[in-house]
Amino acid sequence: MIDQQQPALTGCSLPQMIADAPKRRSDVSVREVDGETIILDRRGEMIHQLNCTASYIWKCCDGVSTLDDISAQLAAAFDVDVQTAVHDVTLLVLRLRQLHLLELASDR
Amino acid sequence: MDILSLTVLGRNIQVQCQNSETYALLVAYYGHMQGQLAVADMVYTVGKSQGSRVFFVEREGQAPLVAADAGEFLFLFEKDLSIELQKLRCDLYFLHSAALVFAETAYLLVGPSGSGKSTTTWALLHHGYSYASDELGVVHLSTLEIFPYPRALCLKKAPPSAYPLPETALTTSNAFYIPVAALPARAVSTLTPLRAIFFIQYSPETTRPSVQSISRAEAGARLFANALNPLAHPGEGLDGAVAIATQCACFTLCTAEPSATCAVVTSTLHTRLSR
Repeated sequence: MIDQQQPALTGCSLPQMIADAPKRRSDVSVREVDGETIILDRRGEMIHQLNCTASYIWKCCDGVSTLDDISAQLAAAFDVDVQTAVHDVTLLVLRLRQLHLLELASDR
Repeated sequence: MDILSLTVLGRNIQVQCQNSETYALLVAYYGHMQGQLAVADMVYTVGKSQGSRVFFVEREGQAPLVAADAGEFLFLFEKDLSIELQKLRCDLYFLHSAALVFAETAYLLVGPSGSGKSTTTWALLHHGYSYASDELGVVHLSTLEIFPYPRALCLKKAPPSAYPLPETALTTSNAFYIPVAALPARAVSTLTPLRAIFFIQYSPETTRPSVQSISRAEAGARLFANALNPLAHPGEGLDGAVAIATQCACFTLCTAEPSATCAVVTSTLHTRLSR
C-alpha cells in the first residue's frame, strides 16, 4: 500500500492545472508526524507518506491558492529560488492529482 | 476424543480432537500454548470425516471448514483462530510480523508473506534471540509491549544449510513446521517492551544485507499497511500505527545470506539503540 509507483497522468492539461487552485480531498485521513504527513485514502485503498517539503505543499492546497501562489510561499519558506519552487510544486501537484488526492476547481 | 486446552493472548481455547492424528498435529503446532482446562472463550471440534481422508475444522456455531491434507488443516485452523483472536482481543493491535526478544526487549520483523520473516527469525534464534512469534506481532497499545504468540515456526521452504531443520520438524504439503520445543532458543511467555521494528524486504538480487533508518511517518505508514485489525482501533487504526512508530526505532532491513543478515541486525541493535 505504500505508494511507490508512477501512474500515468490523465485528464487535465498542464496550463489548466496551473490556473486552477488545487484542493486537498477532505475525505482522506491525515496525520502529521515530525513534519511529515501520512495520508490514508480509504476509497483508493492506499496509504501515502509525504516528506517535509511535500507536506508543506499539501497543506497549501486549500482550494484558493494557485500553483504560482504555492510556489511563492514555498520559495519563501524554504529559501529556494522561485524557478525551483515552481518546478517542485508543479511536479508534486501533478503527482497528487495522479494519486487522486486532490480535487481541482474544474472537478468541483 | 482428546481435548487440547490452549491459553492464547489471555483467552482460553478448547479444541476437541476427534482423532489422534489431529491432536498430534495441533500439539506439535500449539504445544507451547497449552494451558489449564478452564471455561473456554472459544471451542473447536476437529477431526477427519468418517470414511475419508479429509480433515475438518469446526468452530462452535459455524459451518465446518474442510481440508484435503494435514498442511491445509493446520493452515485453515490457524487462519480461523487468528481471525477470531482479533475479535476476542480487539483491544490489541495485530501486525503481520515476527517478534523476537533480545536482552529482555522485543523487536518486530514486519513484512508481507514471502518477505523472509520466518526464515530470518529461524536464523536469529541461533544467535541469542528468544522466540515470541513468527507470524503475529501483537501489540498492547497502552503499554507498547508485545504479547507472545509462540506457535510452531512455519517455513514455506527448506531453510539454508547453515540452519538446518531439526529432526522433529513436521513436513506437510505446504510448509515445514518447527515445534517450539525444537527451537534452538527459548520461547518467551510474558509481555515484553517493544523497542525497534525492522521492515523486512527480500530480493534475490541482493547480495549484501543492509539496514537503513526510516522516518517515523514512513514507519507509521508501513505499520498500517501490515496491520491486520486496524478498523478495531481509533482513527481507523492509523493512530495506533503512529503511536507504535513514534515510540520505536524503525528501520528497513534488506536481507541476503542469513548469517550476514543476523550480524547486521545484531550490530544495529548494539550500535544504534545503545545511544
